[in-house]
Amino acid sequence: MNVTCEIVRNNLSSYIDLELDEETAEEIEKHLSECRDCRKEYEFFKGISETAKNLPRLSVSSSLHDKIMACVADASEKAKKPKAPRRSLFRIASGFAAAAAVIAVSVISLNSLPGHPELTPENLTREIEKTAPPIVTLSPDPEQAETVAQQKPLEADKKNSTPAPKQESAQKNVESNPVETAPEKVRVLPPEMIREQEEEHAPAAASLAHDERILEEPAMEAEDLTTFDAASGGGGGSSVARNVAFYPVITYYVTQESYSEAVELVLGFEKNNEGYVIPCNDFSSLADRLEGLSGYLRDSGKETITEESSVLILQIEAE
Amino acid sequence: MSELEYINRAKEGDMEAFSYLVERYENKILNYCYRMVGNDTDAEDITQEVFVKLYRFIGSYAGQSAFSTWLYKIASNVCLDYLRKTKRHRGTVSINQQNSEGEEFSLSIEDEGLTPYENAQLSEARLALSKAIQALGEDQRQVIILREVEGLSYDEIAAITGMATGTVKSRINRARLSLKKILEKDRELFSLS
Repeated sequence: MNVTCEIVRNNLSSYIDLELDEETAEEIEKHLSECRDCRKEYEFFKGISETAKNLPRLSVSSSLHDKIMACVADASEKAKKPKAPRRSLFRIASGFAAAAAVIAVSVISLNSLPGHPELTPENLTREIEKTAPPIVTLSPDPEQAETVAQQKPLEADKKNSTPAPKQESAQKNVESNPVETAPEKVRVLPPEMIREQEEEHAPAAASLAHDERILEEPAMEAEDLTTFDAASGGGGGSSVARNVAFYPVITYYVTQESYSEAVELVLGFEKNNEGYVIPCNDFSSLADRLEGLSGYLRDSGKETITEESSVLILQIEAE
Repeated sequence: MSELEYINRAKEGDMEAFSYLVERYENKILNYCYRMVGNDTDAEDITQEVFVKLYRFIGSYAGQSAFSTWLYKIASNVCLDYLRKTKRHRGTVSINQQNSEGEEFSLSIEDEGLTPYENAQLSEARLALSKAIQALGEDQRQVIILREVEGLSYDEIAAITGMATGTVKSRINRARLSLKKILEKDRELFSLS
């Protein structure tokens, strides 16, 4: 077999599939008309290819379609029932959302207060405690919300209280990243709006829908926030709201086999350097889908800064 | 109504629209699964699972690739998961063959690979090819079925498998060389002349 034969045989597969450029295809065709051995090789491959096209196909039995639709209906019913694992996934998400919201509002409020030109641990802790109560109502778990609400005043009483781990972490980020980005719109709900929504929804019923509804409501603009601060005794003046907040990076671990499927699920979301940016109100349905892949979520222990409000950063790792 | 309209309606929970999509693709998916796993009973079960997954994930279909390509991707994942999970439990028979250079090599063929119908009805060439496809490794089997049996382009296969088109090209080439090796003793069955 000479060099030409070797080149031709390396390209026979693509030649059969009509995936070669016209010029190369013509050269191969010419060689095949002249070289008996290569032509025999081509005919063997072509014969296999033709046989493959004519392999018998199963016909769909009349019952298969019904079975498929019955399975789908069953899956649909199951999806409607609340399941513990999905709730636990959502709890992770909502926990992060609440924590992020607390930090976001704290940073915003602190910067909007006159006489607070610098961020200090004490200032930050105090402002977090001030702004935390309305945010507590975002928790999907009434018991959890109650516990947090009870803990806050106790913490406030401690003069030299140690900030919670999340707050500590936020504080570090604040120090290393002075909040100096351009002022933009902020999605924060005033306590009145949250209370109205709480009255509309029974606290124990459909906590998931409750959270989503709150997060999906029209958000206040930066100008509104100034009014809100003044009305609630936070002071007015030349406050400037900032849309920078700290959000935790969470990681979804999934098997190698299901990795591409997991990635497929988040393809529609924006991706930044840390991972996929998932709006909180999209996370519950995403978590539901991810659950089908038998992976699990973990807090990566990292945090990131994002200019989006109410988002999570999701990474996907194959293991 | 266009396919996209059916897809959009199915996304909104319209079961009739979803049923239409199932009807349109169930034959393709059933046969793809059949060639991948090698028996009709499992192929039907896997086809059901594929469409259940489609139902669950259809909301995330963004139209970046053709719907059929996306569906093949789901089917590929389900088939490969199935093959990997059941690998240890399936019985295999080993047969020895000689290639044209006289070197003896062995291959494992699933003893449940063919239905009685196929055994009885297939021509010798098709029977030999069906067995040879089953004897391929999962990765080569996947691309050769998508290309040779389903008639998809390299680009479509690349989208389904997540590989670069160049990788698809070389993998199909290797799969054909593997088939050639397996079928060497039956070469005359595949002669076009």
